Amino acid sequence: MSAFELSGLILVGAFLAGLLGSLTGLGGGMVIVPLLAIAFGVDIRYAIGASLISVIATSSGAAAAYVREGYTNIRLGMVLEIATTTGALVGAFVAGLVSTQLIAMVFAAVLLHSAYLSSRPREEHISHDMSDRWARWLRLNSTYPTPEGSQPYGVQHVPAGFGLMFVAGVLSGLLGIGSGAVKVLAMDNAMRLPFKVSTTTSNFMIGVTAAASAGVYLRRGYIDPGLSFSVMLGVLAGALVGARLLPLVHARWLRMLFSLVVVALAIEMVYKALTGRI
Amino acid sequence: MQLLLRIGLGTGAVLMAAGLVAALVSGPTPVLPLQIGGLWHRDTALPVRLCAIGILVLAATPAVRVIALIVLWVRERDWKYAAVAVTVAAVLTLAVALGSRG
Repeated sequence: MSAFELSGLILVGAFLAGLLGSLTGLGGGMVIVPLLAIAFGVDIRYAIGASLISVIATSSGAAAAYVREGYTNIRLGMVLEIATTTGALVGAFVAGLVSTQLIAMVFAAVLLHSAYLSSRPREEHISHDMSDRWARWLRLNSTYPTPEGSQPYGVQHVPAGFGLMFVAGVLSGLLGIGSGAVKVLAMDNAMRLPFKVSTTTSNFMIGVTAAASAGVYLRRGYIDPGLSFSVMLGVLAGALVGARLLPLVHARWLRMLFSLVVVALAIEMVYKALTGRI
Repeated sequence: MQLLLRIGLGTGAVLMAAGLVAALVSGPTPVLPLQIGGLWHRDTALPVRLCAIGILVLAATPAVRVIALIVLWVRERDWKYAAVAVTVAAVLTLAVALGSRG
């Protein structure tokens, strides 16, 4: 196979990953990294490097649209970015020190956990109470647009959310994903934000988090320009098409499809890692 | 700020596309893993260089947004949040500065 044919195939794979990632809201990284590592035999560290670049691109594109709509809590995002970027730094360092088999095993575990989470309905616990002490000190409570006008909301359990965000950052740096699932845990369950606020604020943060990881991967030489370009273009195009299709498709059916893909990828990754072929 | 994100995304994509076109015109070139220091070497092929600079611009876009927030909060004399943004910028600098070690 020539280099151009290979790039074309990677482009198609990245497009599908971006499409699925955007339709399910879990991001393209979850699919593209295992796809590159398993189907294309790319070293998983280069796959992660390329995925990080595509995560930055899609996050910048989406964040530009969301901030304008008034859902993003920029102050909260920046406070939590301290946790995610520090975590990403740690994760990216660890990625250089451990074996690719171990990275693949951790990736498989995160894939399975995400499949489990996405198969359950997401619960909204909006808090109209006063925010906790930290949230008051940092003035994190805000308002968000609803059909009935601007609604105020409080922010709870800031230290727990901050800690979970550190974990999300570590996973992002180690695996090259946006770690949407952990962020949802932190923002919906711990801090009790409205869905639209947690989704858009998390998207706002993903770019900066991935940039911290990408800094380490760049210096280590794990970002291959050709591979990153094909992956970025494919994922970005897939995400854009996905955003257009979203109102037209059934969410439940999609989540099932996503869970199936993810479980299949996870099993394949564990198998390849155990037989030393990743 | 949205404009900033769009400019970064656009410039990065255009540079990478230019790299791709240059690669198509000049034929296959060995694509080596990117090293920031290697960008300015004379023997780095032009397509690779364009693509690599595009990636750097794209990767730097979120960092520029953090700097824009520092400026915004300093102007508003919101020192607490200026400090928050400076901390994030410091971690990002650390990532690039320390990335080559270990």
